[in-house]
Amino acid sequence: MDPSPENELVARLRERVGERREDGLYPDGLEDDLDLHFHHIAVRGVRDRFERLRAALDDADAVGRALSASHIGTGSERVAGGFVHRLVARMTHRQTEGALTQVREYAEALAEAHRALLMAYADLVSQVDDLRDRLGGGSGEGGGPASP
Amino acid sequence: MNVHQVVVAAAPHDAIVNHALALQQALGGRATSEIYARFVDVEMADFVRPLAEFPSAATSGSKDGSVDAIVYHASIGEHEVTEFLLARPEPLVIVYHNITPPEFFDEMDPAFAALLRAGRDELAALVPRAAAALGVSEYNAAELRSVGFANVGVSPLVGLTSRVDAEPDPETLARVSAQTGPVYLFVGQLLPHKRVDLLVQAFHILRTYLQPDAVLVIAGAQRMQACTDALHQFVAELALPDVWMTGTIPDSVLSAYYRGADAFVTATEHEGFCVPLIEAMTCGLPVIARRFAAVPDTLGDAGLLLEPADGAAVFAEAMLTVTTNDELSALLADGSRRRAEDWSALDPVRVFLDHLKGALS
Repeated sequence: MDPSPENELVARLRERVGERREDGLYPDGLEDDLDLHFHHIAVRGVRDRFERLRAALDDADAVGRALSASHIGTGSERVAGGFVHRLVARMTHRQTEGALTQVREYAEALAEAHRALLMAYADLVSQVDDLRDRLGGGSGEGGGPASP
Repeated sequence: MNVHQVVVAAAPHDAIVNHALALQQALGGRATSEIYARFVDVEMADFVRPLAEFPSAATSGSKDGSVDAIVYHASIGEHEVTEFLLARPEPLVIVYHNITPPEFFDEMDPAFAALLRAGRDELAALVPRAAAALGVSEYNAAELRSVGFANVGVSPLVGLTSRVDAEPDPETLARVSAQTGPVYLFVGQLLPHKRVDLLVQAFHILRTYLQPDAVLVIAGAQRMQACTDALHQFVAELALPDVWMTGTIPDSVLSAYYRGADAFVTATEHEGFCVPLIEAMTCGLPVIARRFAAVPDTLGDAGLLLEPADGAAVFAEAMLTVTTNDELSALLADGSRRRAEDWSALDPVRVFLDHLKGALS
């Protein structure tokens, strides 16, 4: 580094920071604590998204499990309409149940795939976390959460 | 002559689209230049056409539908756009705005990081297709050379100061001027590589221990939700009411912040050029930045440049010194104005046209 006025100024700034630390103005580990604080918030954000995703998948799973012919209404405002609907429902009961069973199977397969995706996502987040911790261990004062 | 431009995505206030629009305007009279994008924001539909409407290769060569060259603005990965460019017969000129190193996004947005990785691979795939590759800065040109491009040049951005040329919003200016303490300004998108978190850390140290009446304005688009949420939360948990996070603002409001602030600060760790530095210097603001990527090239001998290893405490000390040492402040302001004049003396349109002519000859 050349001894330009700018570099001399930056050197003086560093000295001043050192003096403030020695004078006890700054608590020990101030910058590391701030850095860690932000990192925890950033990771928490990722975990919040993870939780939201898990809740959404649970909801979808619950809807899939609740599929039932009994949820198909047979009421009607027309005279004898309800009777006709119930009659048709009874006549097509086997077909309706068959279709519902297939949809239920599909929903279960999809839910399983979603769970696998969620696991992979959680695993990825955890790997990035570990990697970050390992990198962070060797970084300098300016190294932060986003440092390559 | 038809020289059409291609961008991956066209969103309002996007620097790359603004550059493409400025080139389109500059080319007017000399060439017809339509802008095409794979993704077009509804607000940009009057200015940018979907890539699917690009004239078919079959009409190339006919008098009206011919395309003499394609200018591609590269900044991110998009498989379909790369496939399109590889399949076209016209000479291709790449304008490289820089692809942010994906490592910055791995933690907060792995999907976006994957797009950036793809972008770097796709850029390399375009090497044999390019008649010329232009970096908007020497830093970007060096990256193009390292990827393997042969005919590499520098073609500066057009309209660097258009945002600060706007008439300052009087209300914003009044609010900034009414502050009793110094006002520090950061302008840029809230993205991990901008290291706004480090800036907030520095400001926390500054306000808590050194300059309790200071204000930090963070002005810029908040497009990445995870990063935006984390920064808002960080500011809230540090109890820093005097951090003003503006989000996207009109040019008049931005211009007012530039006119009213006492110093421009950025802790960014990656920039292909950094337009806000030019804007700040044009307004005669002292600049505090860190020695990363293209920042030293853009600043030249202006500004106070901290080293990568300098952390939040040194940054805070720099902020305090710049706004309390009148002599230093005036010196940095003069340096900013001189550097801004250097940039304004450039004729980026002529430079671009010379490169284009060379690529087509």
